[in-house]
Amino acid sequence: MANRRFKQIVAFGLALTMTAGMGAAAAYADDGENIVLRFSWWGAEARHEKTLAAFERYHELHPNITIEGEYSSIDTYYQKLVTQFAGGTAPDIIQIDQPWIEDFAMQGQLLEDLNDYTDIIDMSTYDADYLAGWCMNGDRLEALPLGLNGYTTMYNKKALEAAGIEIDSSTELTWDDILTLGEQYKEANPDGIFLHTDPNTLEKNIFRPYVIQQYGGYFLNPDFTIGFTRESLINAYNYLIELSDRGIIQPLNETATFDGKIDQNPVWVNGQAALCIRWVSDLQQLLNDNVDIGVCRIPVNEGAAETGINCKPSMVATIYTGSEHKKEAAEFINWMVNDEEATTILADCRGVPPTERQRTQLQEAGMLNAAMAEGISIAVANAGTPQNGLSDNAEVTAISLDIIARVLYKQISPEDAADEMIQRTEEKLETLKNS
Amino acid sequence: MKKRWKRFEGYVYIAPWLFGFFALQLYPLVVSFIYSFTDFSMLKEPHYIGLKNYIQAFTNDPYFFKSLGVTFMYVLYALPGKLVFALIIAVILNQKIRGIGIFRTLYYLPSILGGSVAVSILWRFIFMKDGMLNNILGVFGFEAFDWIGNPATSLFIVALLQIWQFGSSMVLFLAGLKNISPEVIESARIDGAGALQRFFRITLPLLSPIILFNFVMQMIQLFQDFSAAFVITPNGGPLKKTYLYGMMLYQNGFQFFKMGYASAQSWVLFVIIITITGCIFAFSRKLVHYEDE
Repeated sequence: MANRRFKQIVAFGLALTMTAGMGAAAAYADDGENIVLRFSWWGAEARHEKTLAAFERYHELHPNITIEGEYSSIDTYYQKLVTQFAGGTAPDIIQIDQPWIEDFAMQGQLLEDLNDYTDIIDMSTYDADYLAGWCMNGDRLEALPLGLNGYTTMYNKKALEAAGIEIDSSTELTWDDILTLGEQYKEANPDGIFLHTDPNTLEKNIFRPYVIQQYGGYFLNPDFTIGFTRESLINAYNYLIELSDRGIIQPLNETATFDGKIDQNPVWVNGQAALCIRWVSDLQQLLNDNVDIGVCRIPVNEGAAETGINCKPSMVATIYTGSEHKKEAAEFINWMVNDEEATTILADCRGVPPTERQRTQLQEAGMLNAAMAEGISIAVANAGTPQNGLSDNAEVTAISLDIIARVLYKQISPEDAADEMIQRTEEKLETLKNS
Repeated sequence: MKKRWKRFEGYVYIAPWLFGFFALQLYPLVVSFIYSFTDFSMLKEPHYIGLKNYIQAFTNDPYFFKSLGVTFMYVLYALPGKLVFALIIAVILNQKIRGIGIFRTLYYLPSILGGSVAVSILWRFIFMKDGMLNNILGVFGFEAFDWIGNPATSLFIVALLQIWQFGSSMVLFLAGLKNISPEVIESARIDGAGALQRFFRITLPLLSPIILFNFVMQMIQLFQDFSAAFVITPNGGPLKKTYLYGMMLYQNGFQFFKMGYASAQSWVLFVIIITITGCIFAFSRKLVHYEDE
């Protein structure tokens, strides 16, 4: 009998625990005075440490506010965020990539209009044109930049020196230089790779600038038409074949394993790779004991219509419309970008900071990575068309990557590849236009 | 009072399961069916678009048949391998050897690790070009081969991970083997049947219901497989050679915002699986031997 009673109690207990578990999440978010804010971002170790340190300091200053970090690597960040949006559980403050503003705008109002928070966030520190150019969804200001970014060539000084190749920050490489220097490098270091890539880098930072430089303008136009031409694609595919056939880049199948983790590829880790074309904000992630990074302009052929250098905010801070603590979220963002102490704590963990005040402070304190600052100024000085969010559409990128892979595996000729790219991109644009 | 409680009691015990079943299985099942006729994008209100998703999958999706083909190849690689391997190990572990319990546990271990991400990452490090396998082969003078990056081998490497996780089928086989009465085998032996004859003529037919069960369960699971392939070859591998159906669903739903389309594709997979399962059951009547018949 006692045993039976016991079983009943256990059963009820179990059932209760389940309901309690579901209720707990709601109860814990807000018990009057104490507020928990959730902040999500992606990045490498240094960014995690500094961001968490900033949360801790903010909690000391505002004991009733606790900020919880949700961080992951970039490769799954977007999907997780979309799922959270769908479930209404997205964090209060979300670090997103600038092109996503446009992406999310097509899906409804997910991000707060920060124009409503001008009394909390001091935006006078930002360049107004910069905000207008990068952070607007119609007349809604949906984001604040946390860092500046642009394409740059990063070269490993140690590897180049060993191979007897001279490149400095004033070198203006052409794509043909990459081929000739690449072969020179290969002779000095047969196991080395001159141009370090992963599939995504190959598509975004090499293929696209090469295409865009030929005509100048958008990759995909804002009116849902293609910007690229058949000829520009064919030339770019042919160039990629050159790179691959001459062994200037690592075969696609070997880099695929490290897609999105370019800094973890043994070729780079061991200092066997010479250069890499990436966002300036990736610089710190790419540093290691075998790598000493210098920067210069990305390769541009003579007579190019433009440089194809994409300059934009590296990461932007947004507030989720579903947040229950929007005011507190705005207060934290204000502290993050405008407080001197916050600037000291966060330093350049999100790339070169976006406001003049932050940059001056860090420079005076000697806390701004010199190569990074140089990379930004070279990129800005040579900036090309600021590419729109549409051009960054995930499905178009996937189509382009798939076609590049087939070109490099010699499954399709550059001409057929160009035709397929045009046809499939136009199909996709048609559906995007009608949605 | 007491009587009423008694009627109620059972439901309380299975309440956690019931909750899981309704909230995590039945609800998504029904909802995905509804979504499959819409242009649902996860974030925006869905609109009814009729059979458009289904028509698109069959007529205008360059990856649909490709991915289906990859998935069939994957099942063809992994299913026989897994079952044969599980059966062989089960037969060996059915011997009376000292410390057999330890061996049984050891062989079951890979399955506990399951399709977990950690194991998949480990797999990547074993088979990548600078990986463990090539290092070992290098000692014997073989040149490094890119197992995962080569379109000819990548799918097989992913399937191999599945084959390696033969534990759950093995345990079922082992239980089946224990159920076969030693008298039957013994009398066959006395009648002069050799070891192979005893295995193929006595053991295997008596084991056939379990073989069928394992075959069907593993097949269904393989058709729906996702995580290992996704971790080892994030974008569907070289030339999409490991672009399993599950990966296509994931990409359409969570990367491209085409949840309605992904729902439709998952229902197509459901129909495929149920048709094949039905065929297997119909076909199996001649092959499977039930002892009580």
